[in-house]
Amino acid sequence: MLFKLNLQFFASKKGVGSTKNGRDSESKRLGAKLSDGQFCTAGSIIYRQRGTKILPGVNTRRGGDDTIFATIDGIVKFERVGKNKTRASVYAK
Amino acid sequence: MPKMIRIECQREGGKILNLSVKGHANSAPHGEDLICSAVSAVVFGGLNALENAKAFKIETDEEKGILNVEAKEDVSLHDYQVLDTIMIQLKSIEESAPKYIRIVEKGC
Repeated sequence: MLFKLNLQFFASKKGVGSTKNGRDSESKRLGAKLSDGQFCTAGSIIYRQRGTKILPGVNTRRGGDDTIFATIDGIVKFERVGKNKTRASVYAK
Repeated sequence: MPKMIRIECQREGGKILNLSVKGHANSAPHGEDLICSAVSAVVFGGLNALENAKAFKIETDEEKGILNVEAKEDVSLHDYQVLDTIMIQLKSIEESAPKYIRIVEKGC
């Protein structure tokens, strides 16, 4: 035969190569762990973060991984600081 | 690249002088494209029926999905009829799958 028949001659391009992307790290579940007005005990974590998205406020401190945690039992309060900053405080009941 | 197979046919005195088939059907992934296999079978199967293929200039480019058939010297009646048969079969495919194949006939 003059022509060898390729049934997919007019088909779309052949299978496209694989991508080099598609990897991602395990998510770290950052963010608020207690909400405004909630009761918390001393040592409980209020906010998990990288860097100081939320600043430590009254009766709270910043841990080694920037976690904000309470230093006394009380009610959590998120307050504005300056123009665009926020801090987390705990006030005794 | 057109999202369908585009077929152009140039006639003169009722005889096909030029037949070009371009594009990809894109009706399914490579290897499962029924429209493409129908067109490929009709076109290449038909060209294998030519009794004097040397009377034609035939060019193909599989990557781009291009086939060009052009009559050069005096073509036998048999081979004209082969080209006509190919066209009739392609029209039948176009009728059933107008979304994936378009035929344009020029001349008369």
